[in-house]
Amino acid sequence: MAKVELRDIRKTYHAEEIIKGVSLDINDEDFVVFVGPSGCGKSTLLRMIAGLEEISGGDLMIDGKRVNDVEPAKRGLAMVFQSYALYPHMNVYQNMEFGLKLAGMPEAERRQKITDVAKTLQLDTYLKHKPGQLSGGQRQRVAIGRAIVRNPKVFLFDEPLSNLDAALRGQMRVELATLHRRLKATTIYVTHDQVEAMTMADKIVVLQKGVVEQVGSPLELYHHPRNLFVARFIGSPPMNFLPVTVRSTGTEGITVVLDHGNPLVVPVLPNDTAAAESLTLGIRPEHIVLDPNGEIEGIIRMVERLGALTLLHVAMPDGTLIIVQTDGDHGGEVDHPIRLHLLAENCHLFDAGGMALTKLMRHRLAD
Amino acid sequence: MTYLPRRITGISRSILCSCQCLPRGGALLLGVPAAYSMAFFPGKRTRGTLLWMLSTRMLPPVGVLVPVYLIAKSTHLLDTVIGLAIINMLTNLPIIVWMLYTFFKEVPVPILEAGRMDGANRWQEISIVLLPLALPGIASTALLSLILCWNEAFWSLNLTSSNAAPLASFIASFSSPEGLFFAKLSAASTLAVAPILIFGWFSQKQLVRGLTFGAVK
Repeated sequence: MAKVELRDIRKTYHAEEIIKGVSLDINDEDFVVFVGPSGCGKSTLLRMIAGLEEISGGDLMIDGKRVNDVEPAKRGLAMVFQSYALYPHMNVYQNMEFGLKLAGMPEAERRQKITDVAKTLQLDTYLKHKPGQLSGGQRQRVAIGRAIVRNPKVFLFDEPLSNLDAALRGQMRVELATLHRRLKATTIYVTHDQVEAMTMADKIVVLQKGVVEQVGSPLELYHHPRNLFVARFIGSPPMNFLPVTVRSTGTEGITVVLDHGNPLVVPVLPNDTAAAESLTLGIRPEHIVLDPNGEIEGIIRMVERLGALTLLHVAMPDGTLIIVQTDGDHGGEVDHPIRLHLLAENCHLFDAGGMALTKLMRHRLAD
Repeated sequence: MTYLPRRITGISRSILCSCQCLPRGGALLLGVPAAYSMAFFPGKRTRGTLLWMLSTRMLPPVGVLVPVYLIAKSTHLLDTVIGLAIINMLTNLPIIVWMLYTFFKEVPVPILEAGRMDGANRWQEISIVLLPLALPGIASTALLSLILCWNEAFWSLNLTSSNAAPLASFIASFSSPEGLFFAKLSAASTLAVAPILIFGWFSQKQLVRGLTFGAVK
């Protein structure tokens, strides 16, 4: 249906640049998620694509046509807002009809379209209701319906699930993913919730302070983060970081020593890493295993039991807290010492500038 | 009995003046776009403009009586209904803009943006989306300025004599050099209060909401 291209897009507010040159290709039928902490500029970027925010610099292309100065409605996009933004004085039918009416679609065609969409979204019995009479999930569906009836080239979602409770959010996530598979429309979705990003996206764009940190598939970001920021942001519970010193480098990777532990060979490209250099080792909670002969020792400070899994917060001798994921039946107790083994092939190394060293092996699902 | 016709024309002029200066005369017509632009597209000077508008209400009207009188005289608007309507409209405009501004501020911006995404132009955005949402506020603004116009006495007394004299001047005429006509004065005053009282009774809910809207969540 549509291809969206961003060419060095910039946004300046009161002489302060908040989007610092974003270039991005969004392919037809892609489900792209912009994710990042609040204030990273992801919503601004989406609003610039929508046409609600002026573009200070660069080119925005939809289907190869520059649309920087095209009115929002003429860009062929539809947007679902965080607050749903339904027209409170109109009923569900009128809400969906508004855009079609303004576009001059004949009455019979409008009716047909709205009835069809309402049926697929299970809203057909609510057409005469005002938004105020609907539940949060139903309102959300009306907002989505209002976007679908317009048959847009690109769907834009601005944190659409953040106002829903946890159970409903999970359900809507599945519905949205199913809907995308059925409609096959290019979708740009903004969220601060990395779980939403991981579960729905074909491609995730991680933003920080108006700069794209990394673009890639969910598992590529998970297994091959480009830098410390992405490593820390993607994954829950977050990745653990430990200071290490390089002992030697070789073809099988870099041998590093933990502050109070044994050497560890991490399979990454050494590049120009020299011995005695300080690096940061990153390891995910599920890649640390309990092992009586493990290379590091710590003291359990807290136990979080989630049922299927247990998270142990372990204090290292130098005071750093790391999170270890183990199975739900683990009987760990607070203030007890514990020995841990790090799975070296799953470790990441970051240089002093926070950039990741390339791993020797690609994860089989990362590409 | 001689004052009966005068009274009737006085009332009708009062109605004319208070109605004309409102929806017809255009205080709302001027106020809505002004409040819209200030509420949704605030610039560097918006705050200052709003305060300046309010400050005109703080000025005692007598301070500008001479220039206003002279302007009215040279434009032949002295003692005309239209002249009084214009003055009433202008003196109420700041309050109308202020009230509409606070009401518009309460309307969630994403709803207007949704309208824009749906293809509404500026006029459709205001008339189909914004105004219905702010209708209670607009109604209470209209009502309040109606009351203010009805009660207005200073400009009526000073800018009209016979042709355009509304109720206020008519009532004031009972306190004349020949003496105070207490009975007639009381009757006329009661009569003057009655319409607003009844009106206010029916719309008190809206009115209070209008005056305190936005003050507390």
